[in-house]
Amino acid sequence: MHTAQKEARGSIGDVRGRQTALMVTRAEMRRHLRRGGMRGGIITAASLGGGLGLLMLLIDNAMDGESMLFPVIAVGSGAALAAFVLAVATVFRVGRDEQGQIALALTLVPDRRRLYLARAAGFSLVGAATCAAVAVVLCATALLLHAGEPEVRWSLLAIPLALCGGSLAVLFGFGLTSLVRRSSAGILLFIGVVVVLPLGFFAVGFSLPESIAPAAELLAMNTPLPHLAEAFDASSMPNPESSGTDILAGMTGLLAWGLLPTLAAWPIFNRGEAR
Amino acid sequence: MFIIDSLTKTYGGSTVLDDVSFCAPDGAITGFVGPNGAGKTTTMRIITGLTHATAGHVEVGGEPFPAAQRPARRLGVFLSAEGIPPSMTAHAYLDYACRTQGMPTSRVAQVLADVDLSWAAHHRVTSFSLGMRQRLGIGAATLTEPSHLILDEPANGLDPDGIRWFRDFVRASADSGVSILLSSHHMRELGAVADQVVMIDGGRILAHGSLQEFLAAAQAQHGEQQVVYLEVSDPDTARHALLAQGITVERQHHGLMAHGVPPERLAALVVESGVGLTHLAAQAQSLEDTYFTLLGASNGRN
Repeated sequence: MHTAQKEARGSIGDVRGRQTALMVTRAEMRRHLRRGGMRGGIITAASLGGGLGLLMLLIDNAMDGESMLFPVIAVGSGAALAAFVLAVATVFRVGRDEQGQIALALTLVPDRRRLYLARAAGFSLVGAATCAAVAVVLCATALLLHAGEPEVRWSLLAIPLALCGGSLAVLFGFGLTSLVRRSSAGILLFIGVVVVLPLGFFAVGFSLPESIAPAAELLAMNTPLPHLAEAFDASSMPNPESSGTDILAGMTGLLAWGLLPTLAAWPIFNRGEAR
Repeated sequence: MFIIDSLTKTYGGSTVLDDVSFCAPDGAITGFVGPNGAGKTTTMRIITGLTHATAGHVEVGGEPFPAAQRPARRLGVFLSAEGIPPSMTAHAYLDYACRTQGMPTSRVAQVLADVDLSWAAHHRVTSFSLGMRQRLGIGAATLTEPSHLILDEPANGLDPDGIRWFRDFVRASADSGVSILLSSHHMRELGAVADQVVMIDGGRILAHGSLQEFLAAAQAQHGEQQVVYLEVSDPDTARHALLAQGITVERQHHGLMAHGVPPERLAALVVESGVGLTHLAAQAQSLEDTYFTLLGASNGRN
């Protein structure tokens, strides 16, 4: 019997056509949302991010704050914290996936390019959705607390920013851990890049002649954490006091930090032994 | 059909597969045997794309497995129960498999029922016994009714009911046209289901053919003599009579084991000696016997 005929036989007549990256991405997202997936990380990220934002909004409301941009900052800060926590959760999840999940997935999705793309997209989309959900809740709260204040409407911009920034922050965690293929090494690399690297640049900057010290500072400001803060800061959208380029710079930086390790890890995933 | 053509795999300076070639036809169970470290799992991992070959070519249903448009309909894989992600539930594991293939997830409940794990559907795999993991792994491999199956030590940890179920299942699958590559250390189990056998040792194929060819060739190759078991009314007298004819004979259990003489001649000699013959049976060479014979010869050569 011809292989194609055999594949068409049996009780499973309604298998859709060929396997696609979109099909696998949806399966990956569903896996993350199930028990044993990223539920813990999502709940922690949403709780911490949402909690910080709500706390800032409530304190601002209680103190009758005069700056109408503070609620906007609160929404962005909450979403940014959620993105940061999700990036850490992704490091652990990707590392844990190396203990059998990758091998299992490759027997179902043997096209490694398709699987890698779907895995990266699956993590990123879950990150995007979680951060956006946090931003939506915080936005709604900010608008409720400050009804009628036009500046507070800027907080609505935090939602698309959270959508993009959340996905890129999680992609950064995915890429880093895909490079080293272990949670422990992934978290060390994450801390190294996010914390140690900028501190190192600042320290070097102090010991350099004054003429070239700004270069070290520039490098420190181009590490992931400053970009994360900039990318989520809806209060710096174009307005009479701001050109809005900080958000663009932050998002571009975050995009670079997300893509760089993810692309660098591709040959490792493509050529490596699946454990 | 699986086509494995001139497969070589080296790690550093060590060659774990050396020009391995064989075919596993459609509608047949191909037993893949060899001692630990012989290269069985590496071969299977290369077929499934988990490991890259240093040289050689593998086809599953006419093309390399990664090129399959509907991968899990082409090849169902069970390589290790330990490889099932422990943090997932049984249901989530099968659900993921269905979704990656664009299959309706209604099949999950059916497969869980087939492998008798419906009651544990939402338990994490980490809480499963080895036998439960084995059943789940086999269920996952067959979830999509693939045209090819690779099963590595599937009977490990299965209880007698599970083994019977598994034997019936692979037989029925092969009869419906599925090509099955089955690795096992349980020679008796394998001998009961395999249509053909591929034996590997030290990364090289030692023997390959239908089960009958495999047993006969090994017997002929190594000059093995026919063995006949007989029970008689007076074993000592019968033994002396046979020894007097130059026949190698030894006591075994309640009877005698004679080597190198056809059963009809043995029966005549025993009757001639005036001893009553109560039982006589030619001993068939088992897969297990053949396996150890070939392995011993291979080790002798090395």
